[in-house]
Amino acid sequence: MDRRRIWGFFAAPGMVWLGVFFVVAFYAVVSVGLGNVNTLYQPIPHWNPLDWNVGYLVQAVESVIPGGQNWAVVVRTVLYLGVAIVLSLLIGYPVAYYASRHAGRWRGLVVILLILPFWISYIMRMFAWTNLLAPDGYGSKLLSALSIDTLFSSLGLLDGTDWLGGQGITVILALVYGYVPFFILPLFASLDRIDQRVIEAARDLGAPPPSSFWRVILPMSKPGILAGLVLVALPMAGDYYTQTLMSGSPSTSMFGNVINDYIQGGPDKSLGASMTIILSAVLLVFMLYYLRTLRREQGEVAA
Amino acid sequence: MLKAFGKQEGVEVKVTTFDNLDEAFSKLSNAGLEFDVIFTTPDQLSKLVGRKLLQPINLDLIPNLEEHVWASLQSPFYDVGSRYTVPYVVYTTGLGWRNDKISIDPGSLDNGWDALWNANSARGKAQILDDKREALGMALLKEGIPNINTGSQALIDSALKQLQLLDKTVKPKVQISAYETLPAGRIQLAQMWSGDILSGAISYLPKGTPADVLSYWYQTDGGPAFNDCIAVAAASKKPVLAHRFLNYLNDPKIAYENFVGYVGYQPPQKSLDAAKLFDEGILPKSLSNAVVTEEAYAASNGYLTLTAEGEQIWEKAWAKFRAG
Repeated sequence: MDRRRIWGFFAAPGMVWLGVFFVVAFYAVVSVGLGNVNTLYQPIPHWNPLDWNVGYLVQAVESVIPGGQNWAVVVRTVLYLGVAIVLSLLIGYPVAYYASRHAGRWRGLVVILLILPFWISYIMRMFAWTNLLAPDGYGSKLLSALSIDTLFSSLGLLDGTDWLGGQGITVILALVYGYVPFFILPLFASLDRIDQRVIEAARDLGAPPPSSFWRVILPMSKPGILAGLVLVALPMAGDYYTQTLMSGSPSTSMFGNVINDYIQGGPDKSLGASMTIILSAVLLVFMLYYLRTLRREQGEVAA
Repeated sequence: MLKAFGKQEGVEVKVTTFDNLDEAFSKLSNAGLEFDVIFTTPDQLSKLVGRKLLQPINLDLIPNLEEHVWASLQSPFYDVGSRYTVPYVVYTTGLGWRNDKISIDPGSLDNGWDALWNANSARGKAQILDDKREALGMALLKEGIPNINTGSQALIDSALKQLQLLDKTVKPKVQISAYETLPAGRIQLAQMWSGDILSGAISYLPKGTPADVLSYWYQTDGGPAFNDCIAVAAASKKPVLAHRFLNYLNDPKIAYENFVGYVGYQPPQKSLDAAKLFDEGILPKSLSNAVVTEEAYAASNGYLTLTAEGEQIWEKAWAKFRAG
């Protein structure tokens, strides 16, 4: 047996696992979204593509274009995501950079600290914040003592001083807090792989540190940045419980909340499934862009 | 309670929970899941019976119904002759608040629900039920429209406007967790079920917080009140045992223990003396409104099954509100 077949053999169970739990599940969502409902508004999936009914999908698409019922949610989700991603980059890059190149003997500790948040489930960490940021919680008392709440309030970022009172900024910060380790880890790995000699060469050729960063390190870490962004953007785009826990107000509803409301709360499950199809399609476009960029970068490196 | 029943009968009782009644209906409709006993609400009955998911009950096996349950619920309008169900717990939907954090008096207003719409000081610290019927129904009552089962597009549109106005001014959270968030003080004012504020007083008050910081109001004339009910599944393989369970939960001692010891939701039992609960300090006097009397129940309004078109109208309005 050649190597390829041996590894194929070992990979098979994992591939079957992914196939069953992703492809089949996703096909079920598509079949519900492109299905119909019975007289009691219970969804009837159409498994046969020839029977697919695009009515709900059309309705879902109409609701997410300008003027549609969910347009405001789309705009809000894009805004939250955009800010959260930029913040992840600004917060995450220096951490990853420090951990990979300057942590010295603290490196092991820093890496452990980066992984530490994963020891506690995402939802438990969010629950902890709901207590810390409650009006009489330690977190909000501290923020108040430092006048951070009044500062945010005066900048128009906070409505009043209650962090959990339906505040978009709290939702964004919670998303960043929850997902930023996913951004740092691939970036750390990518920065770590940069050959020290390349940087030394840049210095030898007369580049001062800022310009060796801008012209050598940053471009070389682009695949890591992109991988990190994809890893945080995908789950953030469909996230709904961060909003539910940190705000709960319709004025901060995100796309994931709309899907959740349709699917959990009422007879419009088919519409919810159609919204899921739309979200997946949009994310697929970004995913393809990422893969294309990655391939191009690798091509450049090889050349 | 379930364990005690299991011990008494020598069986193991397994519980499957659901987040809302739509989910329950899906679970029950799925082949492969076999239930003996189903807890539901009257507005779901026509669907459940229509789908042949329930079996008619034999009242001879449930003597506690006639002996101990309110006369008015022995043959309720939604199930005349108690052919499919026995009642489980009764509750009203009203406003609960922390009287040490916000000073309101809905009872003194012409329309008590205005207290919520006027509660600007509780902006971000108010909560309404994540339930389209309860939330839009409350908005109808706030508008002075008594028919909380309307299928009228115009009325639901105006109810939606009221909710959107409320969102602008008071910015409530839309969640059903007030039984915990209100006693904890994270929320000051909430639309909630009477059973939730009682269970909040019983189980969720932080140490050192006296129970009388909680207050409750409901619309005594035509406000929403209803009851949960218990039925036997058509697919039950142990129908006699299922009947015995229905009887067990309507036993005065068991029903009382379940009420004050666990769920905070009150059984419609003849023997239950509300005044005594407050005199003995089992429940705080500030929550005397949260106990449902048979007379109050009779003067109330229930959320009933909507027509298919009505359901769509409510659903669309609700989705619009939830999307913000």
